[in-house]
Amino acid sequence: MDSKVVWQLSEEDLNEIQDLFERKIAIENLIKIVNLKDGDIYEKLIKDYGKITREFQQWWDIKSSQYKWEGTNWWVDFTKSQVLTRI
Amino acid sequence: MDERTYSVGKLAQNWKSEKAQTITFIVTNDCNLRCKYCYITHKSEDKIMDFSVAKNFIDYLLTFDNIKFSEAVILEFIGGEPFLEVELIDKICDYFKVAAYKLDHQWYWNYRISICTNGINYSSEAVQKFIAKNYNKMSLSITLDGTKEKHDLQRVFPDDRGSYDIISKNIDLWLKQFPGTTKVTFASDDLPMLKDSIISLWNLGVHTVNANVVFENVWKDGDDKILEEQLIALADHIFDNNLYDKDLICSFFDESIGYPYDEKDLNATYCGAGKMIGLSPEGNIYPCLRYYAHSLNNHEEWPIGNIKEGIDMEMVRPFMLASNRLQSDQECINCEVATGCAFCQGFNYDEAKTPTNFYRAKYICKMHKARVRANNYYFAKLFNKYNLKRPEINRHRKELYFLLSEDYENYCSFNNKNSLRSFMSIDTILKGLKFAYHNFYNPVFVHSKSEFSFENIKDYESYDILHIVPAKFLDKAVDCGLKRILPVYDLNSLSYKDPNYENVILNIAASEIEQLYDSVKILLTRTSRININIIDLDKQFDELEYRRQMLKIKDLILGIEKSQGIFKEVSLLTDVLFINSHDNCKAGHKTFVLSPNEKLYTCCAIYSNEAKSSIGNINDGISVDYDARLYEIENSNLCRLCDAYQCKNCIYTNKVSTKEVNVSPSFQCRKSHVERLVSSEILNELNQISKFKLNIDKKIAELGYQDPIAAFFNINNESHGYYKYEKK
Ligand code: SF4
Ligand code: SF4
Repeated sequence: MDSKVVWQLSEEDLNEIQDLFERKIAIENLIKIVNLKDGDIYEKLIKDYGKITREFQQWWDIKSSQYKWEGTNWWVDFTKSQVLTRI
Repeated sequence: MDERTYSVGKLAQNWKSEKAQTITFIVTNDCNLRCKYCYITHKSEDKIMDFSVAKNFIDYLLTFDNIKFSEAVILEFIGGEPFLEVELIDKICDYFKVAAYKLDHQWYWNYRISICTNGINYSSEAVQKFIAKNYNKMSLSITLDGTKEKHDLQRVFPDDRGSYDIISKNIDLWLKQFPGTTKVTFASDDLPMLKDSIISLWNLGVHTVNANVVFENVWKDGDDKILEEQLIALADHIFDNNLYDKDLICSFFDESIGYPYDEKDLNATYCGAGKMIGLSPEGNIYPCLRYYAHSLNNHEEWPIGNIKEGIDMEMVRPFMLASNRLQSDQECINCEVATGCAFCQGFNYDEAKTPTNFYRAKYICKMHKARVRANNYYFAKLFNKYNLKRPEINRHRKELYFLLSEDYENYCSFNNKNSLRSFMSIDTILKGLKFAYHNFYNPVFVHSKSEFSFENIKDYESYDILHIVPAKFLDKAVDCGLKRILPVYDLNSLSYKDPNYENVILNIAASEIEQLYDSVKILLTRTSRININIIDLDKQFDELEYRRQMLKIKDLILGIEKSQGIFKEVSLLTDVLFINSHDNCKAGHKTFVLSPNEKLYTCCAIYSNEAKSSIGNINDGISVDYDARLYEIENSNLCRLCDAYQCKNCIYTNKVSTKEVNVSPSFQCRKSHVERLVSSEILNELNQISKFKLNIDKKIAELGYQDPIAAFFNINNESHGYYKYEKK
């Protein structure tokens, strides 16, 4: 797969997206193991999932227009603090 | 901006390395392999962690408020072979995730599961189910030792069969699921396979190879040579195939290793014992798994608590106070290449004569030195061939000054008056370079004042050489391909324009001091830093004029800072703002001289004026006992009490003026204290310029004297006798 670096993230931006990503995945993985019977926490999970998904998407919307990133469907290489897109 | 960089020579970034607490669950003592270098010397099939042990431990960690929590957590599962207990690991992880979420503990999302497996049952249904459930929250490495031959030599089943063929069937699947990272360990027998092993791993798609040699007492004579040769052959392979920037990593190459310790290093230790927490199957808690009985041979295990009573913080205190300073002997503390020399505190503890953690086993010593040499080779070539520099680390490495001719350019406060007779031969240069390489000296070539006929041969490419070149020969030096150049100016060569060097030397005679400011002014238009040498300093030195000149230079520096926001450095005035220890010439301690006739000297002045006083030669090294201790700043009763850290404290001036290399004449001290005084004015004024952002944390105290001998009399007024010194 060919990819292209479209942005070098600042430390602040990197930390933001990394934490959002970690939270989102954590909740997705929790949903895999918590079942409906666990009433209270299942409901809380679904709510938290909605919230984190929105925040995650907002980050991409804001940053991509703020920095005018080329292309679509970006992803982050956390080890290099880079935003990439497919070419 | 040159954005090219290299990957071989950098280390892999660990997930949230600075911010994460590692918690290790020793889920089993059993393993399906019997690797020959394994530190777990007491394997047993019956020690398996019960889920309730892990559960109680997690409850304790998440709810006990006497623990300082880090932001993130790494849940590490080890054995034996951890995947023998994959169902248990799965259950523990699920329990942790839900428990942390229920408590709204930030670890519920800020965690990683970390497993290093031998890969035997990687493709089993249970392991694959576990991976799918925890995807994107795991780091997983399979231990592969490289070529089949090397792997099967060490990593064997209990019946001695090699495990390579079985594991290699799982590699493609693993590399589809995780970035290829592995850990390779080398012992004496498999060293000759090192290069091929690393290359074969890279070819397989395992791009990050964390490699090390064992700490144990296994190294035979000549093993260091083999390690060095293998690493150099690997470096050559990297260059021949342009692999240095292809996202490949082999941790044997590390840009940060091979420097002397600084204060910060002395107060730190090598590994994280005591910062990690390990849990044994029996429910005991350890500072690291290496303090658990399964890997100790000589001393009893060292638990710091258990799941019933929790962690006894008193028992953790020794680990908080562990430091290189107290764990290392004098050889290590003073070692020229100490950084990156690895040790394991648990192994050290087991090897210590008495059961103490303040000890360091150093079987690895010669292997580390071999690794540092190979690194120096790699980074020299990377720089010379590709112009890629390893980061400058501000530590004093030893230096060997090659005087390429008798009329070598002045590079310190000594005025060389000899004329050209001959040049150092290529043969001598190569011998000198080998000597420097072997003994960890940075080579510095001092070129002739009168003629530039240097032949830059290909063999020099393996060495990172600094060239001190008279300004008038800069064009020629660049034309012949020299890379690291320090130009030297004097009053006659100020008009030579050069392609803006960051750093230059300005030589000016004490008798020409009234021209100092004008010379600095010219040079500062095209350089960021000037190293000033005041040559032929003696009793007649005009201190008042010097002060006037220095004050004008102070105004110049501050003016540029105010108008352009650029802080230009003039060594004798600005260095003291940034350093907290002496930066003198270090002759006879850290810097030495190689003469054209292959002799070694403490300094260039001794060679030029007292050629008989050599301290050795290039074949035998330093062989004369020249009372080296007197050349160390700590062994000068003047300098150790003085904070004029910029002072060059020329040992030859000392010797000629006072007969002792460690006793400075008053005129040299007074000159340095003129500089110190002007520096303190710079500091005061800089503090008033609000946009000054150099972040200098420095205070220069007001002293009641200009000759620091006063400081010694303050602590020992008996020694005064009839000696009278000028106070101001
Ligand atoms: S063990 Fe050897 S190489 Fe390592 S720090 Fe000590 S003296 Fe230096
Ligand atoms: S000023 Fe004198 S005492 Fe201070 S460092 Fe220089 S030579 Fe030593």
